[in-house]
Amino acid sequence: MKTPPEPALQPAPLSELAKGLLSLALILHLICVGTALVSNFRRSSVLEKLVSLYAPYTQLLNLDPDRTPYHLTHGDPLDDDAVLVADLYADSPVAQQQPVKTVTLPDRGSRWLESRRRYLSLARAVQTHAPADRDPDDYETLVITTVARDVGRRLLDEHKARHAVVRCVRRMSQPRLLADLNPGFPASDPRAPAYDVTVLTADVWIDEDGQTQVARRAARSELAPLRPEGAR
Amino acid sequence: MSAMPNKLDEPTWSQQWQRAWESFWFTPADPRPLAAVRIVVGLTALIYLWSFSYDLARWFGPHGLVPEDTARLIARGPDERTLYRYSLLSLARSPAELWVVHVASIAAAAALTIGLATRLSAVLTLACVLSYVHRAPVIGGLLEPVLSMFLFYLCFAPAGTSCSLDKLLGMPAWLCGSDRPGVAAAICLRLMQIHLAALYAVMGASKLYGNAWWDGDAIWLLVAQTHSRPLDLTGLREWPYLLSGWAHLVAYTQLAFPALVWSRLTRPIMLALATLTWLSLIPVTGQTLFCLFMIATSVVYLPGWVWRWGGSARDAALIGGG
Repeated sequence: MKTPPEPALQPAPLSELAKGLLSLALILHLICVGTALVSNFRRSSVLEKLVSLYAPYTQLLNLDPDRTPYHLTHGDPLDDDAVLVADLYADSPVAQQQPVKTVTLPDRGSRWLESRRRYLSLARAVQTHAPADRDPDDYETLVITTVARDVGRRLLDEHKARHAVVRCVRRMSQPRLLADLNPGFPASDPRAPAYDVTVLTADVWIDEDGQTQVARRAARSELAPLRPEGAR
Repeated sequence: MSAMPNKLDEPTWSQQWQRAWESFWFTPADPRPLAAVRIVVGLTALIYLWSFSYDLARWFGPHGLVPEDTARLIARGPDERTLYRYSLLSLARSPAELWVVHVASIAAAAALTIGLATRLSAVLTLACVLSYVHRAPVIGGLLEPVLSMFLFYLCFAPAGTSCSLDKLLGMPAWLCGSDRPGVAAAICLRLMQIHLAALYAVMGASKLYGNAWWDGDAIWLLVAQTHSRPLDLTGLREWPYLLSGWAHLVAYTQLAFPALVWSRLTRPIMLALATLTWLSLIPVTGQTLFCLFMIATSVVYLPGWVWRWGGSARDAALIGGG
């Protein structure tokens, strides 16, 4: 059914003062948002200062993506998938025992949905903070041992175990050209253990007082599946 | 400033700027596109919040995977930044209380989707989504900043005037907005358009760093991720031109979008390319909700004739850049 025609649009019935105030608010908003967005990937010291200045507004409303990986991948090792794996033991010490169960996070959820991706994000955060040979007292070590402790504690509670060995395992990507594969990396199975690099191993256990304890094990270096340029 | 220029006088540069600025921001716009945005955003918020249901206590409960102290430790960074992250989930001290907050959050998002007390439900949904985002930023993904942005603008938008319970129930205008073309609709649509275009620019620009997108290897690198890819497309290794072309299409579309989406001539092409590239990224990234959301939010760029389903002269109103 056709409705009666209405008069053509008139200029907005806004006073000059209202337009001025709205314009000022819009400009301030766009400056804050623009600064946060342009500094998403990398931040100079100036941008860092500005983003901190606007943080009560942009961070509070999550208008600052704050290094959200919209590039998806750059082909860096840190862009590879990682998972958290926990070997659960009935008791400590674990040297003479077989694990009661091994849990790999994500252990649930569809590959197409958000819920599974969150586990991968957590593992990626551990991977990002887990370069080898770091000072045991630095911030990165504190982050990864804290995450390992929390993940271990949760899984110990879920599975009624007493000791967990929590690992963050990065899976190196297979190169497109299989001729570039290093020896020892099966071409037919990109999920083979050879592709996995353990970037963190930590023991998590519950002591006599019921407190959760964590101890990081030493890291080891790994061979990459892709041959260096000069070796091809 | 407000005086009309003499016809014989050429407007000055500043006057031209002022007119262009006012025309861009303050020309009344049809609020119906905002109803479409409301449904898309509300539905996405609903799915986003719902996706926590199975793991709610596991993530946020007592002895959860990411306790609040750990989340704050990671968010603060080594420089111990001041955080402005507040979460309703922090008020919950038990799994039962956690579920109360969760169910209330889902209810708020459902109310927004169906357009019940639209302005209020938009504010509540924003607060709820931000509560999940701020509770554990470390498990956040690509979706959250875009979703938060749209929810924020919907708080000010007259988005409950069409396809809503508010309209059926005859709710007052302060709760759902006026159904006449207005400045509020224009400003909200413009902000959504600009912000979305800026996000595309960020996505495109961040791909320029490193070699993967330049060399056309990026799609292969995503295909090769065995944990995150939903489909095994490694058979495409025999099709290097396809993989490279695919990577270039994604990167160039995201780079060109912020510039070309404003022109009536190139807008349909950019929207079609954006839709194609987002669909193509779903099977290699598993970012289903994010990719579909990016496609659906393109409605903010749709021209005015798309919304002419009532037949009134008002329907010819500008829809932002329409």
